[in-house]
Amino acid sequence: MRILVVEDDKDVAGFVLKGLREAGHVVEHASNGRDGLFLAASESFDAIVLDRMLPGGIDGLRLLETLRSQNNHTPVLFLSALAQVDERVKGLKAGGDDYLTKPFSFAELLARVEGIARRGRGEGPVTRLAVADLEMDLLSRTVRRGGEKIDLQPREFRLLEYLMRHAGQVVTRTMLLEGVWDYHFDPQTNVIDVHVSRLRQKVDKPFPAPLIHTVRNAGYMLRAEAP
Amino acid sequence: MRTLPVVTLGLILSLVQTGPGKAQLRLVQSKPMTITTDTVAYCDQLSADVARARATQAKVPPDVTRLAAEGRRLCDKGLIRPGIERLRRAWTLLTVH
Amino acid sequence: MSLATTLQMLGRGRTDPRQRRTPMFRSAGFRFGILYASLFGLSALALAAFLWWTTVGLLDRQTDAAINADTQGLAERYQEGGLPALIETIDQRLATNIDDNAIYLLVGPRFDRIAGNLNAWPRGVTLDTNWFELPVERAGLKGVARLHEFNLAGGFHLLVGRDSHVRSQLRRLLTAALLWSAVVALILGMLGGALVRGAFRATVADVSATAAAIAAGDLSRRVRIAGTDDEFDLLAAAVNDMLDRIMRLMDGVKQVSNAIAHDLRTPIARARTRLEDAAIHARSPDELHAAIERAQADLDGVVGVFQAILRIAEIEAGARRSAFVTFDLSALITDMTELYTAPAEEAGLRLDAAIQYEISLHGDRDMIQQAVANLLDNAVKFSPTGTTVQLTLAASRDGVRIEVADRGPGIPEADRTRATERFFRGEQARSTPGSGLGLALVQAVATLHGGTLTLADNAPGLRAILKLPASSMNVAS
Repeated sequence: MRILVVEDDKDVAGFVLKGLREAGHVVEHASNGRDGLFLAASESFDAIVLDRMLPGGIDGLRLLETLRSQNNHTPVLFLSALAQVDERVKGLKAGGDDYLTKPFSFAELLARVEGIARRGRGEGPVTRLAVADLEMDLLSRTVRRGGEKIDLQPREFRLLEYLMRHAGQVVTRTMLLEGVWDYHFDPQTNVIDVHVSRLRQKVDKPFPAPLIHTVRNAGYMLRAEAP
Repeated sequence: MRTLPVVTLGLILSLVQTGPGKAQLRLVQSKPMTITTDTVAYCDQLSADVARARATQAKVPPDVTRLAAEGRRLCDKGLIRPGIERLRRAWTLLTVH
Repeated sequence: MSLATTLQMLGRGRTDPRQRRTPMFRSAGFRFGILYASLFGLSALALAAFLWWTTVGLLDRQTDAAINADTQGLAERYQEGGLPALIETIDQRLATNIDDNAIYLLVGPRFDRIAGNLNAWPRGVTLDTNWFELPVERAGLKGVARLHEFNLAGGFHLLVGRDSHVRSQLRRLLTAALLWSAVVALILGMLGGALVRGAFRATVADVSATAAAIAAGDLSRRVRIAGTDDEFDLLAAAVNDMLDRIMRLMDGVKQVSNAIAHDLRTPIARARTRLEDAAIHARSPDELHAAIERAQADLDGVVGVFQAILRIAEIEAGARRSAFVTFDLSALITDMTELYTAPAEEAGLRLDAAIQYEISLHGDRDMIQQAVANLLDNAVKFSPTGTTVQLTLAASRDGVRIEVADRGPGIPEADRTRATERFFRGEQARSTPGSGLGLALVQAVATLHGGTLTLADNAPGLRAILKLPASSMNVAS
C-alpha cells in the first residue's frame, strides 16, 4: 500500500516510517502541514497517517478539511497527543476515519492503518469468509473447520468474524472491544484474553495447526500458518 | 428611572402654585370687596337691635343676655367677628323660635 | 486550565474594596432611596389630587345648592311682600347668619345699593354673569366667595353668595400635607437610601473581601450568610458554592500532583532500573529483549494511569456532558454481564446477574460502561475462588441502582470514604496490580450524572452501589 505520513516529530516519524516499510508498504513523509497537503492532494495514497498538531500554519484538522473539500476521500488515521474525547470527536467529525492517541504501540498503528485502508477499498458485501481450512458462512451463521461444524455462541461468532475479516493483520484488544462489543473503555483486567482463549478452545484446540496467534505487546492475529 | 424624581417634584410644586378653584368659576375682579357686616358699625347696629328686641319681650332667655353682653364686649375689644357671632346667636334666640 | 483562568481573573482586581469609597450619588443604595422617595411622593400627590377634586366638587355643589335655595326664598318674599319685605328678610338673614359666611346685595335699577352687606355692585358683573367668584375682605381677612346674580322684577338686582373659605382651608390643608409628605418622603428616602446602601455595602464588601482573600491564596474564606434567606443570602450561597467547587478542583489538582510525584515514580523508576540493568548486565540479545519488553510494559502501565487521570479530570470538569445520549441501560448491563462471565468463570467465580429490563438512561454511555467495567474488574480481581459476584440493575422511583456485590475482603469501614480518592489503595489491594484509580473514576462518573457511589459491607465482601438519579432515567411502561 502507498501510505503518507504527515508528522513533524522526527523520532516518531522515523519510527513509523521504518515500521511501515518493514511491513511492506510504500511510504511518503511530510514534516509540515503545507507539504503534507501538497502531497496528499497531488498524489494518490491508500491511507494517510496525520498528526493533529503540525508546524507551518496548516494543522492536521485544516489539512483534512481542505482535502475533504476537494472530494479526496483517502482514509485518514489521526495521530495525536490530544487524548480527550472531545478532541477525538473533533478529529472524526473533520473526516478522519480513526484516531490514535500518543503514545501508541506500533502494532496498534499498523493494525489501524491497514484497517482503514481496507475499509476505504470498499469491498462488496461478503457472505463467506475463509482462512485456511476455516470457513464461515455469514448467511447461515455457521462455522466449519476441515468440514467439521463448530458450535459458537453469538458473541464468539462475532469475535471470530472480526478476526477473519482482519486475517493476516494484528488486531489489538482495544480494536476487538470496539469492533465486537462496541465498548470504548480501557478494561483493567484480561477480559478480552479470556474470550479469545475460549474461542481458541473451540476453533484451534481440536485441530493440529493453530490459526489464532498471540502477538506480544500488541494483540492477536488470525493467519493460516506461522511465518 | 432617573426622571421620576424630577417629575414628582415638578408636579407637587405646580399643584401648590396653581390656585385651585380659579379653574371653575370666573373671578370677576381681583381687588377684594369689603363685607359691611363685619364692621364695628354692624356690631353696634346688631347690638342695638338685640337690646330693642329684648325690651319688647316679656321673658328673655338668660343665654340671650349673656351672649349679647359677651358680643358687645368682644366688639369693644376689637374682636369684631367673634362679637358679631355672639350677637347673631342672641338675635337668633330672640327672633327664631 | 479553567482553574488557572479563574484564579487569574480573581487576582486581576486586586484592590481592597473595603478601602474604596463609593460617592454618595453613585451609590446604588442611594439611587434606590431616591427612587422610593419619588414613588412615595407621587402616590401622595395622586391621593391629594383625588381628595382635592372630589371634595372641592362636593363643597361647591353644596354651596351652590344653598345659594339657590336662598335666592329662591328671597325671590318669593319679593313676590309676596314687595321691596320692604325683601329688605327685611335680607336684614333678618344677615342678622341670623351665625356662620358669618353669607353675602347679599340688593340694588336698584341704577345699581344703587338698597340692602345687603356688600358695599357696592362689583365691577365686571353684568346682568348675564349669573354665577361668579369674588374676592372679599371680612374684617381685614381676605377670602373668595361664590356669588349668584338674580334679576328681580322692577329692575332690581340681587346678589346672593357664600364664602368658600372651607374650600380655601381645605386647599391650604392639602397643600401643606403635600409639602410635608414631600419632605417626609425625601427624608425617609434618604434614610432608606442610606440603609439600603449600608446593607449593599456590607454584603458587597463581604463578597469582595472574600474574593480578595481567595485571590490572595486563602481558599478557606467564605462569604457570610446572614440566614435571612434573602437575595443577598442567595448570592452568598452561590458564591460559596462556586468557591467550594474551586476548592475541590484545587484539592484534586493537589492530590493528582502528589499522586504523580509518589505513585507514578515507582513504575517509571522500575522501567528505568530494568533498562539500566539490561544495558550493563545483559549478556545475550534475548535477555536485552526481555528487559526492554518488560520496561515497555511498565511504561504502558504509566500511560494507562495517565489516561485514567486525564479521563477522571475530564469527567470532573463536566466536559463530557455534551456526549449525553439516551440509551438502553438494561442492554448495556446485559452485554457487560456477558463480557465478564467468561473472565469470572476463568477465575473460578460465578457471575450472577439480576437485570430489570427496559430501563433506558440519559447519560454518557461509554462512561457508564467504564464505571460498571471498573466495578466488575474489582469484584473479579478480589473475589476468592468459588464465590459469587452479584450484579444487580434495578429501577425505582428514586432512580437507577447498579450494584456489584462480591465476597472478597471488602474495604474496612475506616477506608471506605477514602477508597474513592485517586490513587487510594487498600491494604488488601497493595499486592495486586492496579492503579488505584478504578473507584475514583466510578465516583467521577456518578457525580457527572448527578448520582452517588456508595461502598457498603456485604458481610463479607464489598457492595458497591452506583445510584443514578431518576431525572436521568426512563423506564418503559
